Amino acid sequence: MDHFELAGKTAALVGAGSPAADAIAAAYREAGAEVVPVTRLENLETPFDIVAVAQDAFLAKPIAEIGDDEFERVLAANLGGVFAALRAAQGAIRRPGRIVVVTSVLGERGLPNCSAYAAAHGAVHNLIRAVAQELAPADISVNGIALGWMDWMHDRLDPADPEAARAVRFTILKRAGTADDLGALAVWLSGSGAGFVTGQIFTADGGLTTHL
Amino acid sequence: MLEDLTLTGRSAVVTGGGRGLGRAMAKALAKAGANVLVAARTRAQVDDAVAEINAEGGRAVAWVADVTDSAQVDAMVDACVDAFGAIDVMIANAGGGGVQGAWEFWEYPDDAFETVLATNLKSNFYCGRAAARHMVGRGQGGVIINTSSGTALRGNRSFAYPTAKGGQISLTKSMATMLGPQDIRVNVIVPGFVAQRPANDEREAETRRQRGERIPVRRIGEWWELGPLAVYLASDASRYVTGQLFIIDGGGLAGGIGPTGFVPRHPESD
Repeated sequence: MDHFELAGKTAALVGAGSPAADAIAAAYREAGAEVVPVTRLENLETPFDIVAVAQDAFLAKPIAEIGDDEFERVLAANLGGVFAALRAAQGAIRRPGRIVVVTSVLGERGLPNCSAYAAAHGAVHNLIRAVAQELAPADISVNGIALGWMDWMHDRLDPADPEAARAVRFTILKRAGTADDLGALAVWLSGSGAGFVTGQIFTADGGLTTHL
Repeated sequence: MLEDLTLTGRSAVVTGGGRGLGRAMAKALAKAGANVLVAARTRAQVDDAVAEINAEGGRAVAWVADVTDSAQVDAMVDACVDAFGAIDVMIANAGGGGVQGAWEFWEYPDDAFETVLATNLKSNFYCGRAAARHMVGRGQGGVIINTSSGTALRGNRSFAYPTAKGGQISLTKSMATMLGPQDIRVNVIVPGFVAQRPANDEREAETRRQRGERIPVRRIGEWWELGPLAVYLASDASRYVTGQLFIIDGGGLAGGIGPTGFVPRHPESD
């Protein structure tokens, strides 16, 4: 039995088009899954085996300059979509079901200018933990992948900013993450080997949050 | 509410109380009204700390003990009970060996690892156990405070030290769970970069300033800043607080995923 084989499985992908979603789509397809990009999970005919949610909308701004509307937008874009997907998942997923949510290490740590984004992802982390409890009796697992600095994140790692390069070197592995670093973890969490795993946030960050 | 912050009539043991953070906590407890048995390995240091506390109107006695030896720890707690009639507060603060990161992991010697674990982790077990025996026997509850380190929460090359310090956090949570029914509260203070004493010279002060630049509040902590936290945790003001970490680090551990100074910016927000 190959726990990394997803042949015959159908995966709904919420957030298609984002680099994280593209990474997961490529990995799922390589593992044999059929990947269906969706915007919302409600009222869909196809029952899915896997739902992956990979929405991410970064905002870098001092808190004093973030208006109510902007805060709402950041929450909606980072948290609202995950909430809606998890709410609809029970009706859209075959058993045993797998849900994988992409989130950020900023859900656990703070950085200047990241208040709204970090708050949204902190909420995503606890949403995962709470919904995992609710969906466990229905044989659906819910886990998160918290990303650190990834090589596509030019929205927060300005290539022209030497401080950003320094921040990447600050990781234990001294490099930014790649699509494969995310995809492989998503495949494991979506496969037959992860049936006892739920309610967890797995960090793929090159050791960023581990060392002093 | 603030009247809960008094320790009048309480008796405390502070290990590693001869200098640094332990001495600062012993002084703060005494100032809040507690009788304090100040313990450390070095006679001259505990005598000096006790003289200072008593000169300021406090009530302290000195005790020499090696907290890696459980018989000495038991005798230390007995001495507190003999001197003051009871033990209400144990601050298991003695520790050290943080800079012995001289080896690669694969070369790390048994004795270095075991010494650091004994000094920092086993000592907390011995101190907590000895204090709890008296507290349970007396039936009026009590408070145990361990002192860990921010290094417990992240990996670093000092290796044995953060390993032991991480163990203290688990130890604290289990002790809190096991001692809760006896009304004994157990918490752990987690200092970040905190100076143990005033800088000796301008060069040391400059080193501290540079280190402070990596911390969100832009300075390292000072020894006396542990005092108010110790008083809060030792007093009835924290009566519903147990099994918890109290990080006092100028914000370092709340961030720490980039060198301080890294501020993500949207190009359009500039």
